[in-house]
Amino acid sequence: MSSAPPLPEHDYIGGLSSPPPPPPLMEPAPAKLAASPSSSSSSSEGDDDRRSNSIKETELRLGLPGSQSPERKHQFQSPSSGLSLFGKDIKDATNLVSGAKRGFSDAMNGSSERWGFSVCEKKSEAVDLGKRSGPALNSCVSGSMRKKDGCVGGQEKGEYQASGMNGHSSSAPASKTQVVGWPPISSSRKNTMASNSAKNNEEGEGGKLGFGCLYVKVSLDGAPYLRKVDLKTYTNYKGLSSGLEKMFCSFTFGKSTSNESPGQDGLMSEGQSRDLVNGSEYVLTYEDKDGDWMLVGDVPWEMFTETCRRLRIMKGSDAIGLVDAVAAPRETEKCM
Amino acid sequence: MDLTPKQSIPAAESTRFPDEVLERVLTLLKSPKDRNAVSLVCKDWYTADSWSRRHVFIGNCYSVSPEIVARRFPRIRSVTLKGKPRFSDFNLVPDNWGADVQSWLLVFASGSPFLEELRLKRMRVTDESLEFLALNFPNFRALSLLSCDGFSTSGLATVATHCKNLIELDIQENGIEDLSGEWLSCFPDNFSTLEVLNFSNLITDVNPGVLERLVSRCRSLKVLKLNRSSSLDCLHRLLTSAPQLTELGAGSFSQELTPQQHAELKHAFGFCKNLTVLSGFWDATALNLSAVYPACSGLSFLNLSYTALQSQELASLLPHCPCLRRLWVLDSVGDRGLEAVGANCPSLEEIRVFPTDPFDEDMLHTVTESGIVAVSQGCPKLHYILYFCRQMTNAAVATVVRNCPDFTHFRLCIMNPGQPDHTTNQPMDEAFGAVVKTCKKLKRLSISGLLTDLTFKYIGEYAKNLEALSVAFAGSSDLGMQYVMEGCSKLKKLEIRDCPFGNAALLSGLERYESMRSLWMSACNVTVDGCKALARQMPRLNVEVMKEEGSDDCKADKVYVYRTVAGPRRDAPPSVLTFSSL
Repeated sequence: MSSAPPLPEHDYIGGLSSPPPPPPLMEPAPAKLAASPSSSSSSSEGDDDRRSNSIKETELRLGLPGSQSPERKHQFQSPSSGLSLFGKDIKDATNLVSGAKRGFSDAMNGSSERWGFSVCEKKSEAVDLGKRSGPALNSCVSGSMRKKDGCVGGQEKGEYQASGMNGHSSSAPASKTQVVGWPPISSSRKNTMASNSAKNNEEGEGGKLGFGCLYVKVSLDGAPYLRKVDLKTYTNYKGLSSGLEKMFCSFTFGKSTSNESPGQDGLMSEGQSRDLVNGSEYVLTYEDKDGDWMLVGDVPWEMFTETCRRLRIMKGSDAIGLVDAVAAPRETEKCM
Repeated sequence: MDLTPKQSIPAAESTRFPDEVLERVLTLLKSPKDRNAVSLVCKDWYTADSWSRRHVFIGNCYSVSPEIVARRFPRIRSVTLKGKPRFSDFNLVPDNWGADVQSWLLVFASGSPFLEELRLKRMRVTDESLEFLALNFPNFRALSLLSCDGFSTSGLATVATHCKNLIELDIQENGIEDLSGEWLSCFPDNFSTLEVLNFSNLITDVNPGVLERLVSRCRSLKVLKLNRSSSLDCLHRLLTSAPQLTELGAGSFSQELTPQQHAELKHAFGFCKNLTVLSGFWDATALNLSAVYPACSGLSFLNLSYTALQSQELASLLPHCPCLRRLWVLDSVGDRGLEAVGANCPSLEEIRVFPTDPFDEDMLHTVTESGIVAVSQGCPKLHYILYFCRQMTNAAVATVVRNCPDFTHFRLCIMNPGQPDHTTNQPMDEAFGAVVKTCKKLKRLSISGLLTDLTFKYIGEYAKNLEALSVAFAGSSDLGMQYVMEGCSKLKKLEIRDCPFGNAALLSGLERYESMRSLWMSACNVTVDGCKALARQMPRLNVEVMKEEGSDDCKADKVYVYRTVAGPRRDAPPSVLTFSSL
């Protein structure tokens, strides 16, 4: 035992007391589970370069259960660039909190802010960030938090490594973050459009917007990226549910077993909400105007469209805390 | 020409025009390029040009000093000055970098107090400078500020108060401190000379009554661009009193109108038969937009890039604009909207598609390769494109340039850095290869997507007329930049970010930089030593390195190289290192 290398201590507040095993070295993005042996075994290229970055990155790295960011998107991108953009997942990272509520209320508040940290291997540059809705503030968030399921992480790693060998020493920034000055839109245009879409997204009221649409973001736990739905294209929960199913069918793993049994007045029954997204393991929740996370289906549809700010399709296991707050009978259905 | 003996002139005199005649002839030459060529013919022509030059264009304010300009052109009336590197628009240049106009104003006030027009782009302009301008140039008539910063609406107030002969006030896209709309009220009651008024960039409200009275007094007003807080009621009244407008920037277009109001607005637009340019339209609803139709028959430029139209709304609007030559839209119109463009705009020469939500990759409505192909199919005269998209294919780009071989400006931004062709997963090299091989007139190119050195090889080999190249997240090695530096003999501006180009690449352009306006390289592999080496060998270049906090001492985070006859600048902030051969 004494001859084995000591396990690295992890001090989640102040950073690591000793450097962690270097994260796997994909050109685009360092994986974040340095603590997990499987992830650290892959590649040790350029460790030293990354070490200081990875230390920083691991500072905020591990989140408490229930707060996590969606996986980064890798499907449509060149592995050697791997930049999945604009910090969607990263914005959750700046606040490590437990429980869905706070984690996402911060995320929601930050809907017009994108924070991220970009490490560019070739250039060892820490690219600064900017708030979306204004001139860049250039503050570095040292740490891009991502909680990964081991298997997904492994998958991504493998993909990146395999196709990273194209010989393209592409110089795209390492991780899925927002890069200063990219895309090249002038600040004044960004400011104008930010206030446009702030109006579109942050107002819970439907119908008062210029184009009569009401986009809210939908995240599916475990999916690589977020989507958006226009709530005005649906008239009831059932429509929303099937729309979401279609949207996320490529990511979810079970076939839909929805009961089709209508609830009263269009409200979802327990069975429906349970089966909402392709099977029994997901729960559809939404954040309302007050920042509280609620189960979808509790209020009349019109009220829902007026108060819903974003949607999240949670894994059943993660919804325990949420569900506890709701009527007891649901509880036994949801616990996984 | 046959001359009879009586008409023959002694040889010596026949070769000289009197100076006045020469100057008179030269004043007919307007273009700076022609004037520059003229001034190189001989000393007499140089002198004649100097005395007769009325307008000078300075593409980089640090390439020359105000004293040199004032000395050479003692009678200039109009100056255009550009300051910061273009990437300052994207927050890549520190705020205190420089390009302050004050030193220019001081010199002009003593040497050329008859200055009438000042057009500034990416310069720092303080309120004090605006006041100085307003008070020291009695003939001043035209001020245009584009992407400038450092001033507030108080500065505008002093201009409005003191410039009695103002005909143009054009404030666009500036980092302005917007304190109030009071400045508009500072135009004197008897002031009536304004022909161009553009305050679309400002946020604070101006007094509608003041605006309406101003507009009705200024009978020569041709260009009026309102800001977002201007209402439709106000617009209606303005149109009624100024039907002579040729360019209109409407304000907010979201107000709910009664049928009566809508009809009146439409009627007012119907009176504006001279409109050729329309812009603004913040938050336009489809219904309100239909009020504009009567004014669209002569429209040549439509800028809808501040309102997220849907495809159907655009499709309804376009048939009313048969003469459209330039169109700017947001990608909310989608591929369907672009199909409508292709179907309705046979005379289209320029299209720009901006992203509605650049940082949200999941927007459902964006444009793809189909959109740009559809436009190219319907608009064979297309020669300018700026296209922000999230996916593209090599084949689509090749199709586009096959349909429209006359591109002079091809700016494609695939917003995800380093993204390949999404159908083949190949780099986008062949796309830009097709562009440079087909479009012989190409002057400006912006590339994006996953790109290897091959793209640059193509550019160096084929883009012989290229003057401006913008590169991001591309290339595999120094060779990339070398290809360009060796092959593009007409290159004037090169801006590079996040590419694996190092000192060898930087130095490969030694022979090129003096014929270029500037080079920008940021987040590449250039070191300070490389910059010093460049500066040592090229005394007429200024080599500047902007250091970022916390970076290595040896890394040159941002490099800006430009030719100059003014020597190293002395107003650089501490974060900017200037290297020279001295």
